[in-house]
Amino acid sequence: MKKKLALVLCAMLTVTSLAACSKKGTGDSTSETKGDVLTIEFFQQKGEEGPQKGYKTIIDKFNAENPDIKIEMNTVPDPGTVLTSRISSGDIPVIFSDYPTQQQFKQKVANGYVQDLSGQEFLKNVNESSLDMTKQDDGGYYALPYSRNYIGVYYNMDMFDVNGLTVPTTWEEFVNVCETLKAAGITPMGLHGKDPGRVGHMFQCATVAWAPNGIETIAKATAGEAKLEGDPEFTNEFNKMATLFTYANEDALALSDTACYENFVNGQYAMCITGSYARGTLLSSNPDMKLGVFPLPNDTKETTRTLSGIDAAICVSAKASDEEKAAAYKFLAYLAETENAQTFCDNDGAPSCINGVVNDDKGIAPMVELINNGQTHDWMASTVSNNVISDLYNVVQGFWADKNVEAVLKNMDESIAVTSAE
Amino acid sequence: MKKFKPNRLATSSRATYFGFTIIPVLLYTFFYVFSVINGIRYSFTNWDGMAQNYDFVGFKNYISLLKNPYFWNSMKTTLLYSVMLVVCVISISLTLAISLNSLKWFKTFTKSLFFVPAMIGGVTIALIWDQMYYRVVPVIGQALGIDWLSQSLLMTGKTALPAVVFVHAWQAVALPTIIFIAGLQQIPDEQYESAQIDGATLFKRFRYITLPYILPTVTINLVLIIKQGFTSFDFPYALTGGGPVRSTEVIGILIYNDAFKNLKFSTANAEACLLFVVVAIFSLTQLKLTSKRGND
Repeated sequence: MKKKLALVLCAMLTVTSLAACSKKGTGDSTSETKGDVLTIEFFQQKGEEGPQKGYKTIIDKFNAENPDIKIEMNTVPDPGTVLTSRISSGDIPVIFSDYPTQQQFKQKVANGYVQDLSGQEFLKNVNESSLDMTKQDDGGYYALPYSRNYIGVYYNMDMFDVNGLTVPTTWEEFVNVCETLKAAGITPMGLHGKDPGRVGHMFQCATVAWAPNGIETIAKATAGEAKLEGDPEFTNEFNKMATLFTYANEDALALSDTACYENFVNGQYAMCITGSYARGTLLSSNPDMKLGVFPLPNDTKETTRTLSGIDAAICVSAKASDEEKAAAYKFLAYLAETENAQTFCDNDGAPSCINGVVNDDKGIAPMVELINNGQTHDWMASTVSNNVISDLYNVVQGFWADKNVEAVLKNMDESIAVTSAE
Repeated sequence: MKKFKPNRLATSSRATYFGFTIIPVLLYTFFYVFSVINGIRYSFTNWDGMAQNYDFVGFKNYISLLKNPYFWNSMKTTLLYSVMLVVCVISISLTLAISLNSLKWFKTFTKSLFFVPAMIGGVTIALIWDQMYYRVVPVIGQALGIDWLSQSLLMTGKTALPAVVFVHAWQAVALPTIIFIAGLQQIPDEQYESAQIDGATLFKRFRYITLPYILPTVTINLVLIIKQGFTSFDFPYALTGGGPVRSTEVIGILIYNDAFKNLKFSTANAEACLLFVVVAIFSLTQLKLTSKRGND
């Protein structure tokens, strides 16, 4: 008898566990209605404290003003990977942030995962140049561009003051600044190259600054129409990069980004090339530091351009229900109001894409000026496939080790031949 | 209550015991067998990880992989990684086991001390060693005047792979040591005593008494470590991310990058399938070799 009972219990356990499985399998929507309140997930990709605080403030205000909608922000580690796998399994967040100028985003649009936002009133609040960057192949707009990112030279303002230095606007001035600092016994530049991805960011920044048509040349090379070997612009870029290394820390290839930031805020280097994404981390590790940023200068001020893309852009899932979409539009319109975008900008610190928002941080003024003048170029991922780019990062990491200009161009050609063949 | 006949009792309780395995079997089938079969299926398609539709492309992914120099590079790296790991772990853990086994006092305490690294997560250990390589090791190198040790070992292509393997081995020796100790404890003391009386040297005692007894445990450990070496991901990823210049890009990192960074899920699946074949071949050959030895 006892054994029969045990068997029955076993069977029951099995059935219930299976039932639990199937129940989980059917729940593919990320929002739920509790009472009269519609809860909507906002999956956002910025892990830094600043932007999170900005979003949180706006969301709290929105939720208080709209008692029938509840926006819930969700931030996870390694968000890009999580978003990809959630989308591929059909579990798309109703609202999510993404990078609309990149090839990956274009794939999402082509597969019909992202809602077309063309014609929405709130897009009129976005400044024209930012909105233009997000235009997709079909001419539609699928995201609300919210803030701009950039890669630049961060510098310790106090160190510059003590040594009587001003922000350099040309390559010659920049080298002079480095010389002065070196003579004063300070390591002028902190570079971090342990992670090929970070080497890549510096490489992209250098390409935009010193090889004006560089990204286009790479795009042509992937189509088999050009070679980098002997290209005067790239030769110039890598020669300048080699010069830069003579002013940089010798252990760059051993340094992770966080270790480099730590050294920088503790005054070991006067400058550090990194992205707008690092600003919050730098300031939170040393709140007393006076931090400024300027674009990596080219030969003249007029020919200097900076790498800048759309950092945060908010999208809506095309698979959401009409009710969810309506609520999402309401939230996007709220985000796009100048007053709220200003709140975000104050917390995030990056240049805003929304009209009327002012960035009052004097430290980033040289960068904002350049971006507002339109002297920018988008990231490589907007024209070249990730596959090709991530291998170029490896090749450039090799250059950081051997500093051989001829070899790096040849290796880049070889790398492109392999990665673009697939 | 009527009495069960003995054989009926056996059948009935066997059914009960089997009943208890249903849940694990179902879970295993769902989370493992199903995923593996699905993975193999995807390796024959052109699925990019996101598209709703995909086509079957036959062996195209496999053919392009075999032509890809980066795939061969990572296969070579993985093989080198596994060989170094096996040599390090087996030699260190065997030495450790023999020394620990001959301890007279604090035996359990010392054993548990050596087991601590096995209880810390791989990524945590990697992050600790990352700092050690950056801050501590170069200082030692400079003090001793050794050139290659005076900079972070993770910085150059030549030293990065051995440095990653060292960290992995540091954690991986714990479990084989315990298994070896278990093997060593089966050896009756009388055999050593009689050998000693016969005048056998230390090496001879190891060769003719210890080794034959622990050969089965060597087999188990070899399988475990080879598997660990071939499927390693966390240590190289957290320590170097595959760099510098692909010098530590083991196949696990290649698979991850292709799937999630380059959105080539089908290629990544094909890589994983090829890795499976290689691991299977290695394990089978090795099992065959050692079992033959054991029968001699």
